[in-house]
Amino acid sequence: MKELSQVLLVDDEPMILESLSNLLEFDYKVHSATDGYIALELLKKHPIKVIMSDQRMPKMFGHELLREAKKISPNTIRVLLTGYSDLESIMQSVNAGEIFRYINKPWNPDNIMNVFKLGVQLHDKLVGLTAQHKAMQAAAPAAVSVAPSPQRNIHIEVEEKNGNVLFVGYKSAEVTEFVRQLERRYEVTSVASIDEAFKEVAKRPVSVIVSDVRFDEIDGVEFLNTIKTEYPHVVTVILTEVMDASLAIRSINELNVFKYLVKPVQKQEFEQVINDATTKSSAYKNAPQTNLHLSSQQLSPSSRAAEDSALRLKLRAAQAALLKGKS
Amino acid sequence: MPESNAPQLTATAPARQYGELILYAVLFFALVASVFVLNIILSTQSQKDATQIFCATRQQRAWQKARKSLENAQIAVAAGAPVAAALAEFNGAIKNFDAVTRALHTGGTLTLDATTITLERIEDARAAHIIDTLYAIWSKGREPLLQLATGAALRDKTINDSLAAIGSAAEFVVGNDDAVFNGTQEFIVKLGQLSTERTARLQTLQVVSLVSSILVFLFMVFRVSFSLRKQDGIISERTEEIIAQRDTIAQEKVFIEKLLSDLKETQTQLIQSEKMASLGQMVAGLAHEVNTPLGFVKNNIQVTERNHAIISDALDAYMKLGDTIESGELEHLEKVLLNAKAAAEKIRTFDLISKTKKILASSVVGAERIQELISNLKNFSRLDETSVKNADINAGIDSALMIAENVIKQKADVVKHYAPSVTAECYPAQLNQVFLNLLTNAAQAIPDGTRGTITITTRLDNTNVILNFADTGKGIAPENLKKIFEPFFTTKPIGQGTGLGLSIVYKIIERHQGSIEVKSDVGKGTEFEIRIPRKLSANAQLQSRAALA
Repeated sequence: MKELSQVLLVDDEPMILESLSNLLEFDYKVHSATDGYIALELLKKHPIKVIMSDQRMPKMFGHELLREAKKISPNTIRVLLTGYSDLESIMQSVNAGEIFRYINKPWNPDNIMNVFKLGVQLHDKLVGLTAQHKAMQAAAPAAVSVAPSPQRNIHIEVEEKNGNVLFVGYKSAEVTEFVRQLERRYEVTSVASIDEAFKEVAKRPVSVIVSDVRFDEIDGVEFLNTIKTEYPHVVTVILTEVMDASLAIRSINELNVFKYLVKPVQKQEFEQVINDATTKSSAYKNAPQTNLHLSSQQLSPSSRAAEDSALRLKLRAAQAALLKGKS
Repeated sequence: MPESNAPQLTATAPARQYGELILYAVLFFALVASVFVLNIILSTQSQKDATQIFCATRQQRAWQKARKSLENAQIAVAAGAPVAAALAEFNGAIKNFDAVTRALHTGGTLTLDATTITLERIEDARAAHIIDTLYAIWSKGREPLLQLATGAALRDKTINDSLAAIGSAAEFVVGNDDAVFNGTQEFIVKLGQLSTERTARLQTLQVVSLVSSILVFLFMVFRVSFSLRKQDGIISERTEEIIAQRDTIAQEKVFIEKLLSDLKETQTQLIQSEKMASLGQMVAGLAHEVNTPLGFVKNNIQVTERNHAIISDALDAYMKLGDTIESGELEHLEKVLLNAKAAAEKIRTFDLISKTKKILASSVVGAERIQELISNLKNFSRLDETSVKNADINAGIDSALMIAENVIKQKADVVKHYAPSVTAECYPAQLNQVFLNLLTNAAQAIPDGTRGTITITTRLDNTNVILNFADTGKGIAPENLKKIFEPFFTTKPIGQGTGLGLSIVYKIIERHQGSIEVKSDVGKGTEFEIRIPRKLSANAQLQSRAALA
């Protein structure tokens, strides 16, 4: 019999631990802990692939535990179980890159099974990549610099322009400052509507989209997901006025959003975010296997934007129009 | 600030106007008085003049009489007749003349016809000159004439001597007769002239005074009527202003009334929104508390379904094994047996039978917990009880603690010191709201990232229930402590508190005829102490019911 993957459940309510253990024990070796400190000890002792923690616990919050877990075991996939009134504290963890999925209570058991399955697969992939990277570095560090490696490509792009940044859904006055600031290093375009945004992504190699999530009648997360499905290397940054935890959770769960920024944002902070985002986009382009979102989409096609959705059709139309124009 | 200056202006203007009027009046009266004075002067002067003229006329007559009597005496002497009568007559006349002349010349008192007359010296130079001349003439012949008149000159004298004496006297009298007569005549005429002149002058002055007093009067009338008209204008202006102000006040009254009703409406809305906020908090708390048991109960059901399927598959396989053995078709026996074992393997490995039993038991616990939460909530809101009830206060605090559980859990440990059977006649739902507000505030007073203690004490004395809620939070600054029960006072960021929580607490305690006191040390914590009577008076019940309606 093949050895089972090990997972860790953390909750201060023993009945939840018992219940979830029952659910998962056929497929995984389940460890459980009733508080964060016990959990961290277990994480150090066992090769845990997926950790799922409740947010609201005495002694240590879930997001704090997962932050610590990332330091101890970076490849462990982190999942947060959140209750009705945890939304405020969730916002703090959204941008920290600590969490792979948020799951709301009361959860759907099938969803939990899927997340764990996907989590284990991603974990294995990440471990493989890390090993590969280490092996490459150990084997031929010189070769890397000679060959047209990903790093080299990024470097060339730096010398020209760092990449294409597209603002979507803002009045021009709102973003003039940012646009002016970024223009020194990036190709910057700002469009008001989703239709124009589709045309832009079809026309030029956009690497970062800075977008609002509130559009009339159209769901911003779905819009961004449509683009990401077609252009997986695009990194999304949400810049909006509303601090909406459920939107933030959705943008992490469905979009793997890079940052969820709430206005007003400091210029320096914003430029740093764009820098990191373009670097990440180049990395995705050159090494798609590092793209966690793409991997999870490939592993679990259900999370992809529906093939026949209205938005998808619009994007296709924009692409077709551009081709016609060229020929 | 023109409004504040205006009254001062109107105060000084009449003073100036009255000053002016008084000036005119004084002037007018002075002029009128001067007319009277002049009149008096005129009449006294006329009297004096008349006296002088009277005296002058007597002087002239005395002179004429003296001359005539002297002539008679001369004739008598010449005829040898007795001269005494003539001389006596002469004597009276000449004495009169002398007295009058001297009085007129130097001033003095004289007696004429048994009347005493006082004369002053003539002031007017021209008249004085005439009388002086007359006096000078008279002075020359005065002594011999007066001697003659007394009769001393003629005593023991011969007729000739007497004749000579009378003759020389007559010579003087006749010699000066024209001069004296003309002088007296001229003096009388002059006196008359002077009197007329003076009268005319005084009359002119009188006329001038009268005319100017009339002018002053007219001017005064003009000024008064002018200022009255002006006053009228100002008054009508003022009246208009007042009317306008009255209209504005009326408008403002309407405006303020509207504002007041808006305010009341807003207040109602705010109280409503505070109610909604605590309702929201209640729902959030409940949802959180319910979600945990609901989560594992739901999960357990799915696990039970899965286990059930496994167990029923295994049961099927074993029944098939039994059937196979019964039917005696033994060639498949081994395969069927292996199947059955395989089907039952998971049951054994994972101890599914006892585990299923266990999770069913835990599901029952979960369901009970949900039920407890709901009944606690019902306890808390007491929607079915709007009347006064002898309620268990400890239970009320516990239900509020349950609602606030999700707020308190992260922040504080709760220590309870409950006296047994603490009950009071009250509106339980309202008091529960008080407990919830105080507990939420207590939890929020404890800074994020730290853990504090909330201590709840309940006790009884003869008439009251005494409840104490103490936290180890950040405390309330002394300057804020007075204000915490005021509506809309809040130190929480905008949007996080309506500022009504504690004012509602205060209102509810007031309705229960109780009292609430607060003590706080910044950095150490806050303590609320509530006292409510164990029996609620009928009056308070009525009031409270009205407030509820």
